[in-house]
Amino acid sequence: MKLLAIDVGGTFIKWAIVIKEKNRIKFLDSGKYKNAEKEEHPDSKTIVHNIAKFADKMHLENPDMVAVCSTFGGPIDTENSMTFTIHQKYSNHHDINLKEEFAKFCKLPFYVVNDVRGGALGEITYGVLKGKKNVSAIFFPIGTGICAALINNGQIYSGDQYQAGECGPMVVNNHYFENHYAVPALIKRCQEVDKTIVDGEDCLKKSKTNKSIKNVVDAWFVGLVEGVSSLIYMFNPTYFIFGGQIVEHKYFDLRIFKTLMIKNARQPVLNCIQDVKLVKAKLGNKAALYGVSTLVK
Amino acid sequence: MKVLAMDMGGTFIKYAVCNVSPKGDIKFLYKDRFRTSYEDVVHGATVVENMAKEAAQIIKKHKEIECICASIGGVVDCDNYMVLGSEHKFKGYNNVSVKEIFAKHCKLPLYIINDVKAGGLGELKYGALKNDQYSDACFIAIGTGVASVSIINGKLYLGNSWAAGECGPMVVNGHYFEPHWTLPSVIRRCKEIDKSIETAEECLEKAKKNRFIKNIIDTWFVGIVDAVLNHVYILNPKYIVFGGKISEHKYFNLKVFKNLMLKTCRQPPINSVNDVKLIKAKLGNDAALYGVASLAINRDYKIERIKESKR
Repeated sequence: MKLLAIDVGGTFIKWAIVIKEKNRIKFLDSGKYKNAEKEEHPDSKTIVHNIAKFADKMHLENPDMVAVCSTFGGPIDTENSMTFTIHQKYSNHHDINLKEEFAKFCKLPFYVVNDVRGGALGEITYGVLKGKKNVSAIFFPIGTGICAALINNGQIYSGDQYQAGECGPMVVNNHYFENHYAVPALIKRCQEVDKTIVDGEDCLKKSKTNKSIKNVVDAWFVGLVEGVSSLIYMFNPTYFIFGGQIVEHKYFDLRIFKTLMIKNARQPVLNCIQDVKLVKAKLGNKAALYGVSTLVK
Repeated sequence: MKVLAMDMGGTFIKYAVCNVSPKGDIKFLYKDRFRTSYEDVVHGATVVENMAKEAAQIIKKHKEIECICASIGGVVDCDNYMVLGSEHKFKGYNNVSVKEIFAKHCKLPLYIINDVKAGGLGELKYGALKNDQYSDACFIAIGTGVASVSIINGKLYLGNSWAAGECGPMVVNGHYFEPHWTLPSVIRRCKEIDKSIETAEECLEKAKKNRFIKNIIDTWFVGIVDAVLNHVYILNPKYIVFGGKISEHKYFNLKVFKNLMLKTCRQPPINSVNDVKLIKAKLGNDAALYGVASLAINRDYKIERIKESKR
């Protein structure tokens, strides 16, 4: 079956037309467009209306398309396609029935999941956890924000208010985890040393030659280690899956990360820290596009 | 059936001979306790050995006992009757076979579980969560040590290697949660101001009159709030159930605690913080005894332990 998969990010909305056959996904076409052309932070109704208009256009070009599946920021009740509460980035982002809003502009069936959980679903079905059953894991993408998805026995655990894994507001080394340890914060601190730095990969690369940047990156690693360890103590997963573009860089070394975790942990080190397998996500930026496709059965 | 329920604590090992009905009703027939150890640094295996010897004595007196259910400190592998990890207080506590030690002294069937998990189970089945067993909850016990257990859909989540909720080594405000934010440390800090202080209750009591002790208690509250917030952010439970001795004290005020949570968290507070219900454990010190005793008739209490396997 032909689907339109959409991943709503803070800056861009990525899309792909995919063919889903049993356990295989084939990307026919893909692209991205700016989340907001005029407004800096559009409200969630505007976002879902824009998605629906785009989907309707794609449907005209692809009449055999049967459904649209999308990620969305914030707490999402996937079963009822509802989004709840106030998301810091978007105004008017509470108790919206996304399905109803979508239906105003596009008649195709609409499925929706939280963006991080969408990525986790991708890694479960087509990525790191493919072929493994009965595992517990935490999917932890580091990007514009910081959030985790908890996976138990191949299923996402969403918590009581669809917010399990929302670790961004956790205090790590006297800072909010997300505000201080997400990639934009790292870039900002590195830019204070070297204004030519443009992205996270640049920070890691330049830390090898510039001592001051190395100090910034090392401190960032120590904070990440502390936050990641807290997640592991609480959930005791088999796998800890790092996602996000910065993680793909060769200098984001998981062996060093594990060594630092063990070194900084309270001694003697508990088995949950010793035994956890740190791995990098396999699907990269496409994880969520893969993941949302699994919503359509 | 008659059951010997035992609960290993940092200071005392409590036990109860109880009657467990097929429906799961528990009635304590006889209760007592004995010291965990008279030494400062305790060898974990020795504590288990003492427990087993004591159990043998109790069984001699109460011949109708049919099984032993014990809550044990540390990371406990319930399927293989092993203690896998070290507790902060206990040394030499890795890969201790509880089953083998008990088998040397008593021949009755044995069921074991971690002590905090037992408390969580007790509160779930017989205490604070009895009337809402299928909602997500988190039981946090703050006492000599600190640990928690997550309850999902009426069952305990124990993690990949039985260590889920072992939050003692978590860093909170620059210190390990355990020992810095546990009761012995708070008492020690308050004692530096007022040598007459002996218990955590006294710390809370004296904080009402002594400004310096109040500062210590306020800082302690902030630390606990941060740790509880971490639980809420990561697990998003409907209920946080506070267990451990301190939760019973009247000055441990949950309204004040919730206000502090809302004030300290990143603004605006997200739903998980706004909506979480803070409640105190109902069974007090007996929660773990209720929890372990329930194992005698129902061992389908945990989300099946995750064992990695290939499809």
